[in-house]
Amino acid sequence: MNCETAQELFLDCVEGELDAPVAAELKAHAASCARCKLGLQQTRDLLGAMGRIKEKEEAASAASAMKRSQSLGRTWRSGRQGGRLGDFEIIREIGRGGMGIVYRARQVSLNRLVALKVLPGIFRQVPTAVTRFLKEAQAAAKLHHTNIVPVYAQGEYEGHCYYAMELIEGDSLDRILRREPGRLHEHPPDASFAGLQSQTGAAAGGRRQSYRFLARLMAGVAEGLDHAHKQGVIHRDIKPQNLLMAGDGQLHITDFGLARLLDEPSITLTGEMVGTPAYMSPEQVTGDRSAIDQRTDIFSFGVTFYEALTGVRPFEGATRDQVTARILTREPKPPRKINPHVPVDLETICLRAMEKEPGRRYPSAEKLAADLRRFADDRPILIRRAGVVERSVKWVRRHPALSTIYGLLIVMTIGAGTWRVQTVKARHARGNELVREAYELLAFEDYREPRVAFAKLAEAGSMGPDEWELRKAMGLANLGEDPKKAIDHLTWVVAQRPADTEPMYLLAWALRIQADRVDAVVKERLAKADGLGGPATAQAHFFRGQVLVREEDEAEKEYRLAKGLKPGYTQALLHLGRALNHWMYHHRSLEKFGELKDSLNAVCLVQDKKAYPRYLLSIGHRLAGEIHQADGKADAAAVELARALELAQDAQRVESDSARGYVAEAEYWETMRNYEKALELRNKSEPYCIKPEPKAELFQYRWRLHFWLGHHEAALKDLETLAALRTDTDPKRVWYLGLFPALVLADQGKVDQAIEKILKTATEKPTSFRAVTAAASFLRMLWKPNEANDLLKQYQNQVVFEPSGRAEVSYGFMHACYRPLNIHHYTEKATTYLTTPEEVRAGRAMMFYLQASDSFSGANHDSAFRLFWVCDDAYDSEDYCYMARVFVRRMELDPAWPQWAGK
Amino acid sequence: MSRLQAGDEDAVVDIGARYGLELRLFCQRMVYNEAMAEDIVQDVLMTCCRHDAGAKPTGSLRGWLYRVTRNRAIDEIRRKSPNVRLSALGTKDAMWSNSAIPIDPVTTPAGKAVKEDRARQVKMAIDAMDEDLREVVILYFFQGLAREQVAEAIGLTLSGTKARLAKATRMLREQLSGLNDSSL
Repeated sequence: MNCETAQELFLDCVEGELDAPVAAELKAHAASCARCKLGLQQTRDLLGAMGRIKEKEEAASAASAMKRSQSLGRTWRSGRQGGRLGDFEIIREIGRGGMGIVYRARQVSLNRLVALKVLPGIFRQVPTAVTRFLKEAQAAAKLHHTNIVPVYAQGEYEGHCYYAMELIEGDSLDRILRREPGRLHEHPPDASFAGLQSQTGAAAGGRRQSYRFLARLMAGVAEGLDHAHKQGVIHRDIKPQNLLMAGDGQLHITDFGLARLLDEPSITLTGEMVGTPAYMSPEQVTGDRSAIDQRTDIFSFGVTFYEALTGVRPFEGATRDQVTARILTREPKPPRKINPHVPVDLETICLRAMEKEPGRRYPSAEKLAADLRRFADDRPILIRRAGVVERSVKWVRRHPALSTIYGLLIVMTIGAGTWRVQTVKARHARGNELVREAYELLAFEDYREPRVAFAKLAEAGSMGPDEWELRKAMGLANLGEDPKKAIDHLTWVVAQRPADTEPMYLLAWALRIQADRVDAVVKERLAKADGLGGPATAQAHFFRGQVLVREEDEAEKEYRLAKGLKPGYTQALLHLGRALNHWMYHHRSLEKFGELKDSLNAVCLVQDKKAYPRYLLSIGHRLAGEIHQADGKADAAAVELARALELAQDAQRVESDSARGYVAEAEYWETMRNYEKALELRNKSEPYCIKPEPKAELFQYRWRLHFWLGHHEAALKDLETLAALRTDTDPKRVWYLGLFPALVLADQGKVDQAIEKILKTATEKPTSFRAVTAAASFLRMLWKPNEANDLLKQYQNQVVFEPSGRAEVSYGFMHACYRPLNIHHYTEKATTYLTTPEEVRAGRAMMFYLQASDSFSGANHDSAFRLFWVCDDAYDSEDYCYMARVFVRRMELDPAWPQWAGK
Repeated sequence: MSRLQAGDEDAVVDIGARYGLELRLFCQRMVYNEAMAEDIVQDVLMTCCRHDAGAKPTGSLRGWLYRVTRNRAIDEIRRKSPNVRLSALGTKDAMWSNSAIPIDPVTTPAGKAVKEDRARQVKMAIDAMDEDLREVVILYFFQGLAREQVAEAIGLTLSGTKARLAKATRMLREQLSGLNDSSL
């Protein structure tokens, strides 16, 4: 048998489908051919993996089916067995959806055929729902309109809520769209969607004719809606499935008043009844029930119309959350981009109906119907496409503070009335619009990527926009790159607009970035803005959150407020996710993990080419995995860790020239104790670590991988680069300059050189308490307690303690190093002085770290290992955890480590 | 099958009870979208109810159901904008993260994650396959159809189906062997 033939038989062989002689022949061949042997093994493995996938998917599907059947089950059975519901004799099921099952039935008393809708069994468990249903159905029954399916009866029978309607012997618009879209176009008869789209269909005139027919159909629906709205009934669930095409060739609205039932919290909570969210309005998605009025129906109508025009849904996604996120954040693609034959007027009508803000939609279905009729009759429609000026009007409306200026602008335009002035005004408006676009891009999307914004601002600059707006935007654009410049611009803006808090928070943020902490200047700015009533806009909340980024609770709160004011506020969601990541890191709790996932998943959807949200999400999952691991929940941990890996790789895929994805994966492998892999990924990230921060981070995490792997020279080289990257004032610089290199040298057996290096570090910075105490502590860890004590004695009167708050910690630290026996006492004492959560955490971590180093220096190996482990695992302080991990992972690899020479 | 041909409505209910779940799962695997999968199966079952002449089934019931469902699913894939397939991430997430299936508790978390990782690579490789190969993989390996039924569902001869299956297996094997040499 040759390899070619053998390959064809792999699958059959693994599945045991081969006849014995053939199987034997194949096995004989494989025994002598390494490639085929491997291929056979790979086939076996592949089938095994597929088996696992299959099981998993089936279990997930069965679980969700179980959930569904629990809510629908009762009606399903009653439909099958009973055959009778009060006055109605059930003939057969003709459809089912979230709101129950529809049967073809006969009303016995009147001997007529009806469509009988029986609501899911869950309703009878909720008495208020039954009452509401009856009330709503009564209101719906009063509606009489050609385009509304008449309701004959409604009621409750043996706990089943039902609703009898005229039986329409026809298809739903949904079905027509899927199966025979041509039916929506009367003339020419062969003009199907495919025909229209491929341009091979009818001539333009015939096409227009067919769109007139569609417009007339939809106008009927709008008129039906208008009738209902005037009776005070809102449908709330307009979608193609609820529009039925009867024999008269018209569309009829069905299921009036049913969606209202979903307001019943106990029903909505089960979450099972809700159908597709694709047609929901933004106000429905956000659950703002008070905002729901007739314009909600107009939005859903717009979405339905969109689908009828283009054949696709404007907001599409694989999961519910994706769909709702898109409804909130994405502008629908203009229908003509999908199907260029859609007339401009219909596109205009459709997009106007689908405006996210209710106030910008058609105010009533009547006006909508009227425009559709106008189009059908070849008359001009009344609304216009949003032009440049109109869009800026909308903007002004959304920014009431500026309406005075805008008022002036109008007066001037009308007053001057000349072409020249109008041109200047138009340019001015365009300039302002560009500035606004740039500002919104930065405030809502990503302030760290100002390139597009800068381009817009440069263009706007020549058009004479309002200077304060321009400088505010310039301030925001410069924030990440050049905080000094940003401060200049913003200081000017704040001086010009003393009552506007938004630029004040922006300025405070810029100052915080420059000082790298909330110092007195920042605090003063904050207090002033807070005193003026606090943030007034979503973005101001976000800015305030950015100022207080280190005070996690406060920042979280601001991001949430920002998100609440502006649903789908990408940047606020992103930073909320980041803040929650920190929270998870420090609190070792999964409490906020759900919110973290929700926020970041939403961002991932919108920023589908960005590694950063995926990186953050990957870290979140990895932390969750580590937390599960520490709790002994190995299964849950494995799931989260696998997800972390997947997201990290996803980040690399969507943005391959960002370091984030590689870093996230490196961190994953570090958690998995696969340091080779981690190193490989860190190396991969190197070309993209250009800015100082990521670059320093690369070396900070890479040297210790080298150290754990025993690459001493590489570790020393990374430490050297790292020390060069750190400024002289950075307190951590001594670690990289002297202490960690000493550790590496000691590990190489060069203990004398190590000691020399440590002493040199201390001598170079005799006034830095950190340098001196850390040096002493490292000496102790190299089993040189006498040298350590000498060092401390030598410098104890020279060191300068850090200012307030930290002084006590430092004091504790100092004593801890000096008198090891009293470590516990002093560290405990030190921690009682700590006030902010950050200080408490650092103090606690320090306590563990010092106790560990004490055990370590006393060669109490097990105790040192345990304490380092606790310190690393407590996530209390990044600094101490970082140091503890260097030791604990090294000890993990070699239970006998360390064996310093010359003990 | 004969009951269905005779227009027996109870037969449809039985079909729903017997095949509803697996057809739904099949659609979900094809279109990555739970809601859409639900719609398609609903539609297929309704087709069974209708007395249209075109809906009269022939051949084996399971194969016929798969054929109708598969055609509908392919229509949907072609009709919908490409983002439906590209955004498979969410579905995968739901399937992978929320599964109640306990994983082998003996191995270490690290070992399990690697194993999981492997299954995920396989899944991703399948997702990336061409439609005609992907569907035979789904039908044969995941839906567990016999080769004859797969042939019926995709409207191909038995030998053609077998060849396609062999090609798909070979492609997957070769792709995955390039990724990692550790055992699955």
